[in-house]
Amino acid sequence: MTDYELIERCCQQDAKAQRFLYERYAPKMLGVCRRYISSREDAEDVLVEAMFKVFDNIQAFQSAGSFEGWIRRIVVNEALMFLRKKRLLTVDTDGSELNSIDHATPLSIEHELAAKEILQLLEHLPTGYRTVFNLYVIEGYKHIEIAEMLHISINTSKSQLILAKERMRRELEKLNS
Amino acid sequence: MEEKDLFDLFREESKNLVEHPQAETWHRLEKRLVSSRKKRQQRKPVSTHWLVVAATILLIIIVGVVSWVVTREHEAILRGQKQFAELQFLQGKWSASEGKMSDELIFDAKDSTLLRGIKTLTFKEILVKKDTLWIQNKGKQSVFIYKNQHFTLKKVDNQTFVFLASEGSTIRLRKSMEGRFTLSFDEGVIFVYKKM
Repeated sequence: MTDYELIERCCQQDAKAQRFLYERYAPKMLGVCRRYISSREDAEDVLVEAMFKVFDNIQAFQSAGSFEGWIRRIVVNEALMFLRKKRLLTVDTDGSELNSIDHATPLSIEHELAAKEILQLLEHLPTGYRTVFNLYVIEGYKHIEIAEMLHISINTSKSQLILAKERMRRELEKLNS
Repeated sequence: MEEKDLFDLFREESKNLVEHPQAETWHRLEKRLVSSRKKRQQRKPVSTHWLVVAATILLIIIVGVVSWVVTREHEAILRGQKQFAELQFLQGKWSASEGKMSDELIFDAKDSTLLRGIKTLTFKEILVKKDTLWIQNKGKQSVFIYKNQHFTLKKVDNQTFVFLASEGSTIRLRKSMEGRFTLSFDEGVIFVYKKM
């Protein structure tokens, strides 16, 4: 069954179609949640909330865009709301740490990273760094958009990304050695 | 590996980041969906019949309000307009006054000096220049007659009046709220103020 057929049936509150759609997208979306939220339990809570919103608002989906992208945006927003609610989204900038970074050093890696390793690397980052890194590198948002989403300044978003990369570099060094 | 490549790798690999939720997660979601579905069903759909009734009532109210407003505006316009049309008896002939109001009057005086036998009075009042002569509605059974040197309105009975005019006499017809006066005479003299 295609996405569009499923969407059509979900609009009519068809329980089977909802289950089918959930099974199709829930694993990917839990992966998205896990990139933002380290606790699996919390990530699953966020998934439930986000998927409920997906089904509740499915009639608002414009069929012109990607359905997966639409769900992903809802999931990301829900994850950010969760972090904000739990006050985990602190984006303190440590100036001294920022000054000590050699910006010219590129991130390097000697072996291919598997998805699980990426998740492990992300888990080692503080929530603020991880969130900005996720939004910028993986979701492809611009700093101006991230600043708006997280209610921070553009410079804070940029510095968080630099610090995230630096942490990531250190973690990769550990992984390489 | 270039930094850009690493970002690309992150981007690519993150797509493969798939974790299967516990079965219990779906049950929690299902519970919420079921309760939401029930809530939607409980929301009583408004009957079409009642919608029609409500729309009709609303329409009646709107039409009533609009016609009331229009009538009031119309009255206000009439009040703002010239209230009188003048008819003058000159050289043995009735003629209407100049200007726009006179265009609205159909006036014909076959009788040169005497207008007699007023049969119908559908106007509310007549005002006569200088001195006042009121003729009220027939229904009120009261006719106030004022005589001056130019006019005499002689009451024969409740239905019949004799109106005497002399040279240079002028009658001013006051416009009614409906904007219409009709005056009929037995001997073919009719002057009508038409609604504008």
